[in-house]
Amino acid sequence: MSRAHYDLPLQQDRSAGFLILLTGLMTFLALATCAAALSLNALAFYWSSGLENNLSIEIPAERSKGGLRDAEEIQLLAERVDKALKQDTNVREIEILDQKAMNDLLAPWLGPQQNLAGAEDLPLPGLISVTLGHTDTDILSSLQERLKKIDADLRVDDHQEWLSGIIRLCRSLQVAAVVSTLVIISTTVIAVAGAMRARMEILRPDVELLHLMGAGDNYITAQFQRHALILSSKGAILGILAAAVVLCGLYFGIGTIPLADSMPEHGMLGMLLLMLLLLPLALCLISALAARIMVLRVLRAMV
Amino acid sequence: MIRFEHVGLRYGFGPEVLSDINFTLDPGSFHFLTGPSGAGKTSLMSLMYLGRHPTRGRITMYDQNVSEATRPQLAQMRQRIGVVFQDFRLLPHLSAFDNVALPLRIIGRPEKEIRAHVSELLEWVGLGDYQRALPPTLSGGQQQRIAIARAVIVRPRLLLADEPTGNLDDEIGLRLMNLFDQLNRMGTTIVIATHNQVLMDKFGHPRLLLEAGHLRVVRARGWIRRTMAEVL
Ligand SMILES: Nc1ncnc2c1ncn2[C@@H]1O[C@H](COP(=O)(O)OP(=O)(O)O)[C@@H](O)[C@H]1O
Ligand SMILES: [Mg+2]
Repeated sequence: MSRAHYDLPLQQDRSAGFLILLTGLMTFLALATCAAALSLNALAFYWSSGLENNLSIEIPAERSKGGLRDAEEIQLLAERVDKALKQDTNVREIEILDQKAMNDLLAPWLGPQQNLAGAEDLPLPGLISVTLGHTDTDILSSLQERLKKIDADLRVDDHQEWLSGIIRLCRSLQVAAVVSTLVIISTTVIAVAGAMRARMEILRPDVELLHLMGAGDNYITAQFQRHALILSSKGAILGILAAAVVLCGLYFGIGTIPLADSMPEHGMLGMLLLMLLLLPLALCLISALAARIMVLRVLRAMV
Repeated sequence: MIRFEHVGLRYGFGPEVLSDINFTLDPGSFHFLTGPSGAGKTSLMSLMYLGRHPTRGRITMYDQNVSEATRPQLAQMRQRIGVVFQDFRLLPHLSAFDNVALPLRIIGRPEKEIRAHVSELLEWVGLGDYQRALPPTLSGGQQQRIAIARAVIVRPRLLLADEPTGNLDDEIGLRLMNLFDQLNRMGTTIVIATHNQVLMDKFGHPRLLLEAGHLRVVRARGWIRRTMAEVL
């Protein structure tokens, strides 16, 4: 059948509105979940790219052999580290956190009234923040070696432990998002297939008549399939519009979508748009396919 | 064209509605199927239009054993059978035009051809002014004419009509019988189930007589035709 023609009264369907709404909501949910997964990806990338070339060197206030280092000694050690690192061409930036910076860092915990008075008595560690051109394990271990020669107590923290934890968390959230999307799609497909089945039961005498007139399975199935496709497309468009409105609202209103502004070079926006189209398209096609399979099963049971 | 050999039919676990039916319809033949109400005329028709499987026996149509035919083959066989159901079975949501056009759409005829043929036929059965009307808004006789138009629109090889003149007044009844005769002369094999003694006498075609599930063939006087079934 080339033209859009129904022999069966499929459009006179009171549950059509419900089905469109359901598909719309499900499309929206699926899109929101996918958007969240993509944001997490962007966020993880953003964090790791910001931190992976950063490391901090700590000069403990307490000697491993016992006893405390005074501020002067810590300052001296810091200067030696600074001098050693400056010869390394891979080192981009070195920042020694002085007493004032330390106090600023500690203020939230010790309270602002604590001020400098008495603070000098506190055994504060020295901190040096280093930015490298690039990082790998060899560079890190050779750096560690050189620092050990200056003083065995120096500790290097490359944030890897913290970062890998965060990234693991992002990955598992993404897996959860993918699973949710699959659940959402299956729910929709099951609902559409069920609705088609119910429709088929109501129209059974008419379907049987077409069958008796020699209408092939494809002729009959095509009508249900097209009906399911039209309903789910309407729902999908509804869902896309709702998702687009919400995402635009977030982007322009609050500006907290991390993906769009942090990762333009990674085509996050393009990927989001692609997903915005592909996901509902897949949902519609799978719905139509489910309707087809459902109707075929009923037809095959006819003589 | 169609042959029944030892065919039996029962509904569910009920008694046999049709028992040991044997007959052959030659291509181009014209038969009346008659018998008292409840004798199984409609049931026999449903076997002939392939709407049911017999519970026993063998049905051969176009030289093919029906029970061995594939689904597409069955669909093709059904496309060449026109049926006028006793209860019409028109699709109530489709106009008279679309109801009659249905068989043509099923076999994939171009819409232009459909428009011409359907309008012409509806005109011919006296429903030219009711093409857009929905069946529930029409009288029983009008619905029956739509049903007949739908059955003949594809010029079927086999035409089965279950009491087609029941709701029609004599003039239109005769006109439709003439239509069936015309189709028959062009080669369509025809079986008409009817109680109408006047009609059967007037046209004199051989009769398939069903009584309590058994069938015998009554050759009409003055008509030389081959026996189509065994006498039981
Ligand atoms: N779908 C059916 N289910 C069960 N019994 C049926 C069905 N159709 C017909 N019968 C029974 O089969 C017998 C023959 O009916 P039918 O073929 O309609 O006879 P006729 O058309 O000659 O009046 C009747 O006893 C009827 O009750
Ligand atoms: Mg009957």
